[in-house]
Amino acid sequence: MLTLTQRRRLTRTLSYLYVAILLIFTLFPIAWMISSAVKPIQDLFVIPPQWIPHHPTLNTLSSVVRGDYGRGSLFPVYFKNSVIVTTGTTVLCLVVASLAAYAFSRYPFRGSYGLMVGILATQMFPQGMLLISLYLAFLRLHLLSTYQALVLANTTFAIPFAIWILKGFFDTIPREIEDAALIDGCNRLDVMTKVILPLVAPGLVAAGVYTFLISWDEYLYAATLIARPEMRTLPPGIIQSFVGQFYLNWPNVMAASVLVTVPVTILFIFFQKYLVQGLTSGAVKG
Amino acid sequence: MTTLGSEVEASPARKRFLRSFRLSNTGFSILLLLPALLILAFTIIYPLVRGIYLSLNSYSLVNFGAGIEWVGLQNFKTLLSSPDYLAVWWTTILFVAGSVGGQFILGFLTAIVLNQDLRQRNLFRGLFLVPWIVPTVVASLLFKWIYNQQYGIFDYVLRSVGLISEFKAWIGDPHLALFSVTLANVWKGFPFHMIVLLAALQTIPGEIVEASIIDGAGALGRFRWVTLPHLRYIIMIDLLISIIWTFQNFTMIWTMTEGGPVTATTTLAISIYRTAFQAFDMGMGAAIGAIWLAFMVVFSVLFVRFIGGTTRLEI
Repeated sequence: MLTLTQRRRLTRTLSYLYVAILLIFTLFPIAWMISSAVKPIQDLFVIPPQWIPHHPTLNTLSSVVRGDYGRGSLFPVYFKNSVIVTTGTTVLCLVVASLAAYAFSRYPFRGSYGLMVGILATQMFPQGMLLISLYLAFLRLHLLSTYQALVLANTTFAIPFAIWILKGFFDTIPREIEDAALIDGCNRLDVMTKVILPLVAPGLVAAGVYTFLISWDEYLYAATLIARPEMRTLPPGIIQSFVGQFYLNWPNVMAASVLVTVPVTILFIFFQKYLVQGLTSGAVKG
Repeated sequence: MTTLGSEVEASPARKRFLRSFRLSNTGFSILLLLPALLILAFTIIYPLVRGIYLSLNSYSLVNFGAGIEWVGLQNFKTLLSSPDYLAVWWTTILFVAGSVGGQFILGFLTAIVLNQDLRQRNLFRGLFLVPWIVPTVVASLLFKWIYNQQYGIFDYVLRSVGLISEFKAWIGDPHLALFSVTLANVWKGFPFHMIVLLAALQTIPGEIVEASIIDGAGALGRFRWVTLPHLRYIIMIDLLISIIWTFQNFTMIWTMTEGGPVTATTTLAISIYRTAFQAFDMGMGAAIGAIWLAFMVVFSVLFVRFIGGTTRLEI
């Protein structure tokens, strides 16, 4: 039988061991991606593999950034399109979702709970099924291959989740603050925009970062609703330009992967705290 | 004092005039909801209703002349009598069970480990979140490279440590492809569970844990009688969300295998896409979606009833 101290020490050691193994599992693929992106092509296809590049080079990365690698790919253009679509989705979502979340949090009415459940339940509607009618509608409206089409389509998953995150934040603000402002004679709109919204700034950041991440990630709508190559966003852009049926340009693929991951990593490093708070505000009521 | 209140107080006539335009709180609430509802009506409700209508029609985009033709339940009959379609369901269930099961167990274990006072645990938590923020397309291309048949690092490592003796085509072999894609998806998805469950673990009051220790509960007993009951609601939400998401997962599978080899990784999400946007059979694609939707609704209701008991969803 182990003493309590011994048992504690054992648990501790096992915990660090677990963390170490899991760190390898999570970070090794990332390290391998970076390592593959900075190798000259002939060093990529060798056995045994070079864990650390023997001849590190930034040539592949820079040629992907410049967009000159032969197959008529438009990486910088995709990047610009992704920034526009993602920013558009994020701004639109934050505006409409914060209004809606505020209404759900502060002015519930008969049926508002059901409405909120309904909005969240839309997440179980098969995206492919929604896409069929969205595609046909945008086809008829001549909106295929436009930013508007993609921003609108992205709202199907972004708005409901943003409402959920934001409602969690609104719920943490004491009602007395509003009551005081209302008694002072402010109207309800002013109370919301001037008093409460500034207080949920962390929630806006959390919902904004989350919306940004999932829009940056979006592939299905972007691959279907955008036909013109110069309008493509990064996810389908990368697939279309580097992944042929019988041929994959691995150095370029890995370099492009690194470049696509950089913006979200920067965002994550700066806003990790808010993102974590946001993800848990809806589900975990402390 | 010139607050807004005293101004309004000063002119009762104007106050009454304004009040005639004043929205009730419900009216105000609906006004705030309106932008979101209008957008979702166009992007979700309309496509949903039209999708259900399309599922009862034959509508192929290949021959535009044919147009929409009402066929009633014909699409559903065709689907339900097709062994290929039933195989898609089986693949989907394996993929969802493997992904969510793997992610949940790994995420929960990690949350429990990180819930102790380890040095640098915030750093570890941040590092463990990395797979979750990596774009899905990047993750799937990366794993495609890792699984590469000739130069893939996965195969090389397994061979070096002697776990396997010969080359394996991790995503080229129909028997292995679903496992490989699922493993990649576990890597990508476990951090979400970790974050949610860790936050939930931190809400368990210390006194309860101490009381249970004094009452003589061991680690397992504590887990069974304190942790699990306390986390029941969050576990339910966490599992439900991730089951729904994993059913929806298109990108990871499509960009790794396009549903292949042959149909080894063709889930419902892949199947709709292939039917509607490669064979351009919109009616049949919508029918696949309609059955899936009906299943999800029933499943979610039962799931919440079964795991959540009588608790009302706190949203």
